[in-house]
Amino acid sequence: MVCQRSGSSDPADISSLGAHAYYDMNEGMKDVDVVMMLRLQRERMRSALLPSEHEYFKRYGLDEKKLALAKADAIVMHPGPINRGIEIESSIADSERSVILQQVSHGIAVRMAIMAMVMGNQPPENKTLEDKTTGSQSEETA
Amino acid sequence: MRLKISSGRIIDPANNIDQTGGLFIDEGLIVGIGKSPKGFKAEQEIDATGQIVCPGLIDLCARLREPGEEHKATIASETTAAIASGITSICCPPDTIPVIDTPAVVELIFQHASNSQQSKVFPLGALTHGLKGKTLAEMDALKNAGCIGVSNAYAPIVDTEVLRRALEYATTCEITVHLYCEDDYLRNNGVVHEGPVSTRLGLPAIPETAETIAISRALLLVEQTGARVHFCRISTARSIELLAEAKTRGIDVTADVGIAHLHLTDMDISSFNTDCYVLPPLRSQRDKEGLRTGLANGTITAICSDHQPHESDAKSAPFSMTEPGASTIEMLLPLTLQLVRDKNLTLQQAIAALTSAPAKIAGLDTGNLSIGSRADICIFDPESSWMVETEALLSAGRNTPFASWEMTGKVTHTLVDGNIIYQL
Repeated sequence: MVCQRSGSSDPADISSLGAHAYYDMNEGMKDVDVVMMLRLQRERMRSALLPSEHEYFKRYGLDEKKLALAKADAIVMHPGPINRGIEIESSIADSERSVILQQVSHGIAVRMAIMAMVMGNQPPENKTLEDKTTGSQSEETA
Repeated sequence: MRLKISSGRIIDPANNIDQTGGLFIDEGLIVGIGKSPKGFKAEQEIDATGQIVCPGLIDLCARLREPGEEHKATIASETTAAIASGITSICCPPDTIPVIDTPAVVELIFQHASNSQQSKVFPLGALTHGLKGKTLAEMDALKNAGCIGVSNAYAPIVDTEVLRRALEYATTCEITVHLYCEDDYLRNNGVVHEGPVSTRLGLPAIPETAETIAISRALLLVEQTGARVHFCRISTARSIELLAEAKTRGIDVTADVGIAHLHLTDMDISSFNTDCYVLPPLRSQRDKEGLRTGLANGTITAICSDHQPHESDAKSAPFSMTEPGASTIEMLLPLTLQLVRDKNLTLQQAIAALTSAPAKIAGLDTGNLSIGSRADICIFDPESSWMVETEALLSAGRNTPFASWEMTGKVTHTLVDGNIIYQL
């Protein structure tokens, strides 16, 4: 995880949850398989956390130079909506390495499934599902 | 050019050197101390018999008034005064007009400094945008442009959360925060230290707590954020205790003091002498002694000029309507040497407070005479006396509280990158 320093350690001790915190994006990008970008969630920012979008992009935005540090076949993910030029360079968002649109469409399906399950619907009778789970377990979850 | 400085007493606190002998310079770098390097043939020689040869002085805070207040002083005028005072590097705070909060202003300052070819100038960038204490400045961009630290100068950061976020962001950017600590509400537009003098003169006063509360707040945030903070212009004895106590708890902070506060007290304001209106205010005799003790025991490591040149109009008004600050850059070295004669500091300590200590705080590779380092050098006669005559000052600011004082210690040569820039 690439993050800003907060306190004498990383934000709220994220490393105690098993993530490794990097304060320099160039360090964190080295040889990774997947780059997952996130949007600046302004609705949750209550104070002066960042000087400007321009400086944010320079430090934490994914551009071609930073992406070159990842593995050559690394994919770029982002749950959307994206802010071009703030957390991600436009050309990367539209490139072949980006799976953002797929991720977002899958995200809809996953949300639909979760909502259906929460409302008490069983997973559809499906061969592949049954192959992977034993019959008794699926009865219990139901 | 190959240069030999012969027979001087070489004092280099960074390397614990105090010896009499030659110093050898080639191509702007120091190549030998004591004995001549093999095959070294000097093209020029400076005879420094009876003089002290030390690293060029580093002033952690001098206002050059450029850009924006060229009617007070310019980079050219103030670096000329600095170089004649042995100062080879100057850090200037960001409260210029416009504020140093964009790389463009940093570049302008570098450009004007390199045009004047005197002392090197190292700007401090803004900590908050426009020094307004509301949003963070682009510290990463300022650092990349060449700022050696960030600061909010005299401008208060009233909102403690902004200060917390600013310290966190500075930590992420790995840049030192030079923090001037004053509680804006307690200062309440005061102009002199709160005590018998303020009562007698009837001037709005600044209590000691304006500084100590702000320092306490900052120390607790340093503890939380791990920020690299340098405390600027300490003025009270109580602040020294707070800093010393923080250090015993393992909080790694540094501090400096302005030269005027080591020599003057609020008593010097006596008959509304506006040249004694400085910020933080000149405090009591007990505070002055406390500051000297703090220097001696290492709680404060650096002394700066806190030079603030003004045009005469700025000081010709009723006391509280004048502008704060004193022209002090030309007295920095002799007044620091006075602390040695007063038996507060050793000569090594005094020179360290003007060279190696500020270099470390500002992250500069100068301030020492190590072999291979840049030959920024100050040579001075420790016994030569002179009197401060305001008309003879090289600084454009004649607003000095030290007018007619007898100074002991005079710079004879100043070298920058091995070139003799000043010669008496």
